[in-house]
Amino acid sequence: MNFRGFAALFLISACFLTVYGVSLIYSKYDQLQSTPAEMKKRNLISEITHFKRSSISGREWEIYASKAFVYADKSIELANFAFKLLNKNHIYSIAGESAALVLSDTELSNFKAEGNISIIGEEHNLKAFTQVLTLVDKSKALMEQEVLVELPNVLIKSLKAEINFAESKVSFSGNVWSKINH
Amino acid sequence: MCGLKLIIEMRLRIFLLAFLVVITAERHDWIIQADNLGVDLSKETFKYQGSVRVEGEDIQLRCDRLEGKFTKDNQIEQLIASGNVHLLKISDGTQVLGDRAVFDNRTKKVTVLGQPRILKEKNSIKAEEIIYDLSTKKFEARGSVESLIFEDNKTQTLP
Repeated sequence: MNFRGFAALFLISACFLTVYGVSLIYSKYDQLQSTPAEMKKRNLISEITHFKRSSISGREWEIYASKAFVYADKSIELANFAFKLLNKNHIYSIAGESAALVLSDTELSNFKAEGNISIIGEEHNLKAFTQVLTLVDKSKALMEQEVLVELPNVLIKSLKAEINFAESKVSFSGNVWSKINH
Repeated sequence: MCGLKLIIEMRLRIFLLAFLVVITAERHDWIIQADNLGVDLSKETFKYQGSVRVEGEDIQLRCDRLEGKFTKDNQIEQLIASGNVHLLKISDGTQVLGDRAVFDNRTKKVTVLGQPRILKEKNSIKAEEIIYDLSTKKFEARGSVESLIFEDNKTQTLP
């Protein structure tokens, strides 16, 4: 390759790198600009310690958290929460490190919990552990990541599991591993 | 001195007994793996589906589906395996193939049904049902037993 060819190749590479660098800086700048807007949209209204809420009847569900962040859009973030769910006279106690939910007129929705979640169902001696839990509706919960369920004489591990509180059913999917003492 | 020796001996016996209890308890565990599992806590039933593999003491079972019922204290009452049932006695390589297998926890016996056959090396036995006793670790063939045994390159069919 002669000098001209080498210079042309060098110029093309330099142009490409410049364009790439500028686009990278712009995307980072855009990200930095959009973060405060997102925070503004959520708008933290209050920070509550010893947060406690329950359903209108006070029987369907009850939630307690050591700390809660309440936002303008009615979304709430909880730290170290305990959630009691009553379904067909069966009590399920759910606890974990953090949860996000929406509360409107004491109607609960979009409940998602993360970090060392435990579910205890006293009726069936059920103990379940996971890292991520989503309440699909008041009768169903989806468990994801490190699912472990303990029943007397039975231990079950899987990738995902769904608990149907109303029907007292648990469905496991993905690499189901279980140990049964017989 | 004699008393100390007695105490040591007693402790050693207790330790050995505890060790045996642990070993025996471990032997009663079954490891069951599958793609999916559904547990109905009210009806006390469960169903494994998709590439089901059961591993117990000296036994391995493969099938498509495995249904079971447990008692109030979560002890298995009965297990029903269906679809491409393949039972293997690990220690001697004896295999049992069939369409269905029923395990009764009271009798500790597995009954293989649906054109079951025992295979060991080149030899095979066909019957109406083949029973494997988990306690004695012995197979029993019942009803219209037909054996095909190879001996010194000769074939014998036994009714």
